[in-house]
Amino acid sequence: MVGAVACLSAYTGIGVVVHGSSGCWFYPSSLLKTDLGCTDLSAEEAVMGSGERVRAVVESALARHPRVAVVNTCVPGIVGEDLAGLLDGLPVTLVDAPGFLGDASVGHTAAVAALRPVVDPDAGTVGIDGLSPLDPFFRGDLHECERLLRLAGAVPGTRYAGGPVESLGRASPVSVVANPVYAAGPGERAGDLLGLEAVRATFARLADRDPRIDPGPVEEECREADMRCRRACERYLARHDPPRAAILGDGDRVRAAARTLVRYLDADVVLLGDRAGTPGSPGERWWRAGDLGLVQEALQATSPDLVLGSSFEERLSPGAAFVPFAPPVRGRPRLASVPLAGVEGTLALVEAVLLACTGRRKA
Amino acid sequence: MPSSPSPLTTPRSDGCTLAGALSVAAAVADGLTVIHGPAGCAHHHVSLLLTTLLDRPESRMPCLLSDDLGEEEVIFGGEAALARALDEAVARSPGSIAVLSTCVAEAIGDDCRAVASRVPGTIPVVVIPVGGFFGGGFLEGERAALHAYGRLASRLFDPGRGDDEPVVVLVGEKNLEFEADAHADELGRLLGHLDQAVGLRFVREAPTAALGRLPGADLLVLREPALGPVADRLPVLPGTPRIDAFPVGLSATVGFLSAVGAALGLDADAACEAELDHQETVLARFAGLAGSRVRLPAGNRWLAELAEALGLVVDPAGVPLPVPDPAPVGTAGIARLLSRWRRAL
Repeated sequence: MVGAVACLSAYTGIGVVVHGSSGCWFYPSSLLKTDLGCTDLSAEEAVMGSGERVRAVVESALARHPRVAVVNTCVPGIVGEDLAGLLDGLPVTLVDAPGFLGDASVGHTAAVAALRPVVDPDAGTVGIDGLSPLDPFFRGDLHECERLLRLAGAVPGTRYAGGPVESLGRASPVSVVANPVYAAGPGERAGDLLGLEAVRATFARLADRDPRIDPGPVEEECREADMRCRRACERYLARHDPPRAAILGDGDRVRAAARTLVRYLDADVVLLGDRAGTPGSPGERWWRAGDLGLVQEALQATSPDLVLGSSFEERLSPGAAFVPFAPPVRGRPRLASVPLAGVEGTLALVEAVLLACTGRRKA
Repeated sequence: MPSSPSPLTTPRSDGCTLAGALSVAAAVADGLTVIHGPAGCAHHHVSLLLTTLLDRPESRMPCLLSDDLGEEEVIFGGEAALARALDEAVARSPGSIAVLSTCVAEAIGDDCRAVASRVPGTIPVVVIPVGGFFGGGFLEGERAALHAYGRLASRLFDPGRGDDEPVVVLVGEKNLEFEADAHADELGRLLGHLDQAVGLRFVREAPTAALGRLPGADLLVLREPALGPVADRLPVLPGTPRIDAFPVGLSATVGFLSAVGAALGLDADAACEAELDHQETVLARFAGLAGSRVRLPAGNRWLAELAEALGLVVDPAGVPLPVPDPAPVGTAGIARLLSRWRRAL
């Protein structure tokens, strides 16, 4: 549910109503800090029917939005009321995303599908996929993807998620992906932008597909960024040992960050944790990072001196240098739009790692 | 979103019972909480609890397990998933296990109590079948959890173990409050004037075994008057004295000492004198505020008393001053509030 609500709230031109209890509404509302409606479902309505209530709340939301998405939570999902019938005649998109169906990416995908994007092969734009407001790098990734596309002469197009909801009616035929765990849009995917090698490869594919796209300036940026990372990391390695790194978050990002840390810092990556991945065994470096107990065991077993992860992992590794890498990121101001994707994403990651490692040594 | 115009007998905007119950269960020092519901319910509450721990890096992360109900369990029942989660909980050897149900568990009709009854008796199990919003709101969840731990306390009570000193019990601390420990420290300081101490925090940071001290309580100090119905059902001796709220304001703080003295049969005169001296010292640090024109919420006795003691001029056109909710506890709370007021002025 939270993933669906986050996805929908990124679009303009559509309001969002959570069909569920106020407790279900509170979490996405506190995270997203946006105008988010709720039917504040009561126990009586769950049992006796909520049609009157849903319709009243949706009509109220339609006073502020031309269109409204209604996101089902667990109990209405179980009860199975005919919402389509109840809301007949209103400009409403129904998204069935009860929490028991899966994690945030499942809800995100359901929301994109419910909006029914229509690919236009002649749109002449390149979409940006894999964007969710739940992601701490959402805005930074968006800005960086748009910047790189323009640098290559492409026109940034449909976002999954974000922008005017009407843009989905003429969706880009091809997209680049910021964070693969949230990739949900239709059409062709040119590839992700996690790490400099992926940036080069993705823009090469875009250029193969469309001769108007020139990957040269992006390649040049990648080359310069590579040099800058090498120089900064060589200075660090002249004084310090390579870090023993634990990286926990969304799988593709974890893989890309591991490649970057090995490439520039000769890091010993002792732990890789994928929140959605299959459980690993103690003999492997991959762990399922969705269980804090397992994560704690793995961190204790591997003793990293650098941890990339969420505030949970930060809490479990008090002596290690920490870089925010996955939600939730709590207890630190995050004002700037920092990316993880693209050229700037790689630079930002290496910079954050060097600052964290240096800061830890000073402490 | 505007409220529904339809008349209803249950609240619709009071949050989730799970959050309230979890705020209690997660505070038990050696406890483990099993949430019987989708993983998302556990995730978002852990995330919120984490926020309350940010300024206490030394504090422990609450130990939670979710049985991760998915579509299959919703259709075929989730009791087997709960049983598996309880097996895992037992394997971790906690001091006690709390089982909290969600609205999903309630909707599909799982019997948490029956599943929990199969846990070996060596580990106490507290079943709190709050049922998400089916059980009410945040406060109902919090109170249901306090009731449940009260029942556990009576099971853990050892009548042969007499306490030499009076047992003063804090009941129902607001565990999501950033200042919860600071408030308890302040009450400890005040009790120190009477050579007493906080004997049990029910249940904040108390190990499970310590909860057995509750039935032997000599004095209950409630966090707020609204906890009266909870205290009525706690397993304490009839007539056990009770103070209805943590003290707020200068005179109330001194009055707290008098009330404790009366409850425990102690002469509190010297303690009250010592606290009055302490308050004078604190107020003297803020003497520079005298004469400032300030705006304060009307009809609040402790604020009016504080303004008068400081020589503030209350004026609707004055500088608006921040007043936290919940109100600051004890003289230490007043001192922190005055620091904020000095910055505002």
